[in-house]
Amino acid sequence: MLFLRMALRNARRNLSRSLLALVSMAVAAAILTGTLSMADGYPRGAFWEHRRLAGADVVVYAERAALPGPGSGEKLQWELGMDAHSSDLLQHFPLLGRRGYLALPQVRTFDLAQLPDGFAHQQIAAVEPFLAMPVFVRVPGSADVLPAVLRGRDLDVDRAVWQLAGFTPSDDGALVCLVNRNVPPGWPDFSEHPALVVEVPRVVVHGPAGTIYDYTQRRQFILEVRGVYAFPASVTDAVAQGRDAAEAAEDPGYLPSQQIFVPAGTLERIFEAVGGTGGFRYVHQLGVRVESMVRALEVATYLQERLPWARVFTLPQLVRAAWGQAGQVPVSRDVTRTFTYLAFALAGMLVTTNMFILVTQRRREIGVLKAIGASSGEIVLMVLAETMTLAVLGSVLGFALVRGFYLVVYLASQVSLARVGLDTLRVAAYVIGLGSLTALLAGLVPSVLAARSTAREVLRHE
Amino acid sequence: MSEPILKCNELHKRFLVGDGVDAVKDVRLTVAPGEFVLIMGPSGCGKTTLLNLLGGLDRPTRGEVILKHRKFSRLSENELARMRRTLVGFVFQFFNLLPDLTAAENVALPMRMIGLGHEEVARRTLELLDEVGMVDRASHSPYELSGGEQQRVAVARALANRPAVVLADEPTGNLDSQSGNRVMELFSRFNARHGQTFVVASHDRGFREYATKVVHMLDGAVVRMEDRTGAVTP
Repeated sequence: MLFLRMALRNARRNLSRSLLALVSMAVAAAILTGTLSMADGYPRGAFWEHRRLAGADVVVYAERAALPGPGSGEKLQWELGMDAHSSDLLQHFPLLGRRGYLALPQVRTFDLAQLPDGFAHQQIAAVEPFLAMPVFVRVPGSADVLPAVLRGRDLDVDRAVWQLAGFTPSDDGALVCLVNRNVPPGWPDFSEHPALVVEVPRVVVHGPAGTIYDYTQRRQFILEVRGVYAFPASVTDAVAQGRDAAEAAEDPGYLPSQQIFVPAGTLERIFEAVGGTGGFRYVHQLGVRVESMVRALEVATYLQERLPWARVFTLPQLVRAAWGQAGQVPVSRDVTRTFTYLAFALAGMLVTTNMFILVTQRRREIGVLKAIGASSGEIVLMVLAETMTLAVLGSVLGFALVRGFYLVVYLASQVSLARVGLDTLRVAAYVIGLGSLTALLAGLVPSVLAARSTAREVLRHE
Repeated sequence: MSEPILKCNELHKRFLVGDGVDAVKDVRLTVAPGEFVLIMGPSGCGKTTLLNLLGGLDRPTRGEVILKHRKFSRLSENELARMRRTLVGFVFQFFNLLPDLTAAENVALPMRMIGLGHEEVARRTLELLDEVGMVDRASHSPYELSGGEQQRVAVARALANRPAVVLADEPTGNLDSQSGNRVMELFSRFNARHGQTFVVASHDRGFREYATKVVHMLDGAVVRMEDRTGAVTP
């Protein structure tokens, strides 16, 4: 206690230098707290591009996990279906030279006419079914037919996307489409053409077990190309596509997709025109928009509890899982992490310099203390106590400022304090722990140096 | 004669500077309890080095220091520190009070280091400050005190743990004559009244009248030793 008190007095005596050390630790702690809080919650801007692509904060898959999760591996076996009408394989994989289709066994679907109770959660703002049909597309005048997906998007739910891309609410039901700026390799640039020819296979069966199409019978539609959608790719995505990391860092580009977006009403119209009676009713996937993005995880947990037969992911979980599946190192996360640790390293260096100056200035005092009986351990303790005090105070300050801001945002979004509180404690432990560790490392050399100086060395030079 | 409280045999200290400097050469010294030993000699004769060796602040090249039956050569650095805490009091030429602490806190520091209770520390601190005439300056910081006042506080600090011996290195060297005399009187009073043992290195001839033994040094060696009666020991 005696040496701790002396350490605190010293810190107070050298106020400007102590404040500098404290502020540097606070800045490092603030950066780390911000990073952890962003990853912890679901703030605006995070995963934005993926969110726009998915059109949802939470994605619910009927029974099947889109991405293998624990225990889901055995369910991802596809089975070969044979049907007089189906030639899915032949069309999509002509090299196989056989007819038939691939389907997930015991497929379950969501019945849009009767959604389960869980979707009545007050935090769920909208539910957008994943409306999609396999189609063949070509540009007018070309014989090349390319397999693509016609994807219906809800103009109300996805208003921000459509307005940017050029749709209007009156387009719902019209034969208009948006094409991706970045088509898969080898495809023609659809955006250069005013219209696309889309061949849609006939719907043979549409029921709780899914949809079966007859690819030998197709109906042709001409869709006016109304605009281009583009989802900027993250650096991670660009690297995942095999692009050079340095080049990708300069220009990540855009996510490629063979999806052609049409308004949901348009897809319904086409679906009925090819034999889908009663409208598009059964889907395998639902996108859920929540009232407050910070509550995405809470909603996902709620849905998972009520729909044990489904797989529910928040978008960040989905993206992280996709990164993990692809075996890619998420560059953006790495950059953030590097920046955070760099901040701590800089703060540590500043603290070390501060302590070196302090120890040099106080050589005589340390000598006196040793002369009157302080042991080397006590000198180390005194110097470390000062370093640790500044570091812990700085870490607490940086943490409190940033996490305080996040807490206000969370609580204003009606997130329960119990949930945020637990995360807050976890982040606090991590930030203050790392701050203390940095200080310990930063203070170790100066304190040992101080302890090694002997009273004789100090006092003889007076 | 009573058993010596402090004793050194063939004490030698060589500093490895250039060709090597023998700062202390084969010094023999015994200090009995209650003695007031004055070490005199010109600058650079090895007085400070000898005091450092006697106080365990430095280790001899050869020879041995024994303080209250403890051989310094057998003690580790930490054991030496603990020994200094309880058995040795230091008074320096430049006072060396800790600037962050008040006069009272400076005096209390050695007692706190050995873990004395709060009340006992407070009582003894006041007692010591009273004896050195500084009780009214107890709450003052060192920079608020004159040189003489700082040295009186330093004397009180050196006596705090009732050490076996107080080692003082030029305690009046940085003081005016009036303040120096006052410090000398303090030493004398503690020596006479409490039987406190002192070993003082000083140029100041004023100490001679209080000393029970005067050790003359030259070029690191003890050249003459005389007691109060004037008897000379070779």
